[in-house]
Amino acid sequence: MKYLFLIKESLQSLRHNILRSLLTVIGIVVGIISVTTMLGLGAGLSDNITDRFSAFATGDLSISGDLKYTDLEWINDRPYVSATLAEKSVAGTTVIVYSSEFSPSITSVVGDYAEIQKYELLDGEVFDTQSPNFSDKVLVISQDFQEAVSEETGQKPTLGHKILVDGQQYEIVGIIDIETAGFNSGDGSILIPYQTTIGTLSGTDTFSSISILLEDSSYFEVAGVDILSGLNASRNLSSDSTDSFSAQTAQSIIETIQETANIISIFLGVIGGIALFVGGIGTMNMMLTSVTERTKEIGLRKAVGARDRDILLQILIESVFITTFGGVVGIIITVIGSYFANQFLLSSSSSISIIISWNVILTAFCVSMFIGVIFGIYPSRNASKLQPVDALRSD
Amino acid sequence: MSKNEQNKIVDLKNISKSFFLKGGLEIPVLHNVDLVVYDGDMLAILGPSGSGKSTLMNIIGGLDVSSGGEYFFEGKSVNDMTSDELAELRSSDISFIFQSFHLLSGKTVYQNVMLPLLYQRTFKGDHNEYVKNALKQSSLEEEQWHKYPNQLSGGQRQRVAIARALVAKPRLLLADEPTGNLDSKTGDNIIDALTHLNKEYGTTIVIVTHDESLTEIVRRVITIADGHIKETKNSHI
Ligand SMILES: Nc1ncnc2c1ncn2[C@@H]1O[C@H](COP(=O)(O)OP(=O)(O)OP(=O)(O)O)[C@@H](O)[C@H]1O
Ligand SMILES: [Mg+2]
Repeated sequence: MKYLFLIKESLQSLRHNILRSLLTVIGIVVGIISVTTMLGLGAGLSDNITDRFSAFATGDLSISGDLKYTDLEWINDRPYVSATLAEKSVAGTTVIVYSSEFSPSITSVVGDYAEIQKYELLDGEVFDTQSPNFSDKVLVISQDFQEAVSEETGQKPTLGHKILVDGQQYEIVGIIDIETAGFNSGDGSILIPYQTTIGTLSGTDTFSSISILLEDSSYFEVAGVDILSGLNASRNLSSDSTDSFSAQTAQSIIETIQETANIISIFLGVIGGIALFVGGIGTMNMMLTSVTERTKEIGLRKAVGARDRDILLQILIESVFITTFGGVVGIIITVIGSYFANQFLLSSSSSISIIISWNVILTAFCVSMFIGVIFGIYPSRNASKLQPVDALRSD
Repeated sequence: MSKNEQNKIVDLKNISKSFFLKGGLEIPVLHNVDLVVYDGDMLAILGPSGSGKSTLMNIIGGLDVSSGGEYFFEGKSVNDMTSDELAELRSSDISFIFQSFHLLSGKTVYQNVMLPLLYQRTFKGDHNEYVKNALKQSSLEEEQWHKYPNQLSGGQRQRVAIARALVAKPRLLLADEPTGNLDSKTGDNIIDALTHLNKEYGTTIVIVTHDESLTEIVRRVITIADGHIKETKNSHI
């Protein structure tokens, strides 16, 4: 290849001024670290949010509004519905186990819990969630809750143990392993029969949402419209009113959340990009200085036969090499650094991690090369346009 | 009548050159210069400082362009050449030796001499062979080859510059005061080396000099004064 020697010439020049080259590289390294870390953090955050809400957004369709148990029954009778689940979180309640206070997320449940939620039964049983009349003072605890208690008090609550919820005694009948829905305090979660909570924990018998599993999940649109018009009719509202009720598919919720997460990622990326931009300006500054210093050399190269494009390419290669090298070093540091950062985040029981995907690595690599081209064009054009006589004459 | 008359290498017709300062002020340097250089010539250009010797050399060497007149190199119009074609001319047909050597400090002697070959698009030969030949022709001993320019004496540096000028086997070698920075003994050695090249290999050489003694050696002498040239010696006639 005819231009191969220019790569050698470029490297020779960079080596000749090694200190300045390295200082410029550092600017790019910092820029790339900041971009990749920000993108990795954005990806981690987005994954984390999506995970949490995926666990939360169960079933094919979810109806929100001021819903009653009779609505649940009515929806259950629709021919296209295969299962339903109404959950209601009970807020502001203290839980006392072994004389210590905890604040797990407490959910009142009625409907086909087993069908719609994904969980693993570790011990005992899950109470009869289907029956609206089941009102025993029992509860199911999550493994997370069990561990939180054991960590705090040194004792592990097991089946048959009684714990205090809002001053009343409840017996543990089951222990399950379940993805925690939404954000919580880290104390795990507790399930209580719907009927038991009425008048004691929650006061009202309404739900804010109902999850629905369809016979065929692709019917979600028709099903949503049909259910909404039915609910509106029962409240004497026009069938297409959206004032009281709304239908969302699990998919649409996740998409909305992912969109938000993406915007956060882009925002973080842009913040990281500012450092990279500064690094790019540094490279341009260095290349301009280097071209000015080497005016005579460039004149000499032209005098012995270098064409404009030979000079242009050499300077451009130098610039691209600086930024790409900086990019690679930056990526390596970020990968290693994020590994240790993640170990730390894990040990401090944070659920957010920095995810450096191949995508991010590839993007960072390409961006660093691109930066070299962008910020190298001006200096290299300047150099290539020098007139040989003027260049040789310069001092 | 010279037998070389058929082989004109450089043919300058009515060349003029002015420089323009920033305010638009014109500095005329060369007026209506006619000059022919034949294949195998060894020609000296004399003239007082500031008379335009370097300016003329730069035009002949394709480093600068004239303001008026026509220039033919081996019959091709240099005026019409693009910057790429001029680069090609400097790459394969013409080479320069400068008063201040102009060696690249980051390269060894060997690499400096190699440089012109790197920019040759169509070079077919063995780079190393050409470089070694050029170094030997310029009487540079092998122990100097891998030194850097700042480790050499002035005379040695100018020999490196000569080797660099020779390496691509140019048709025309332009030397602008090649001995200006050297003591007279070293300078004489350089002139000897150039004379040898002209005699042995028939390289056409144009030398700018202040040194009157050189006029004894060369066959033709051109003198520049007030922007005009005059041929003051031509031993062919
Ligand atoms: N780029 C330029 N801009 C303006 N004036 C110039 C430029 N180059 C040369 N000149 C002028 O042209 C004239 C001739 O310069 P040139 O360098 O050709 O002289 P010279 O004969 O080589 O002198 P010397 O023997 O000192 O090397 C001088 O008066 C110089 O000031
Ligand atoms: Mg001069």
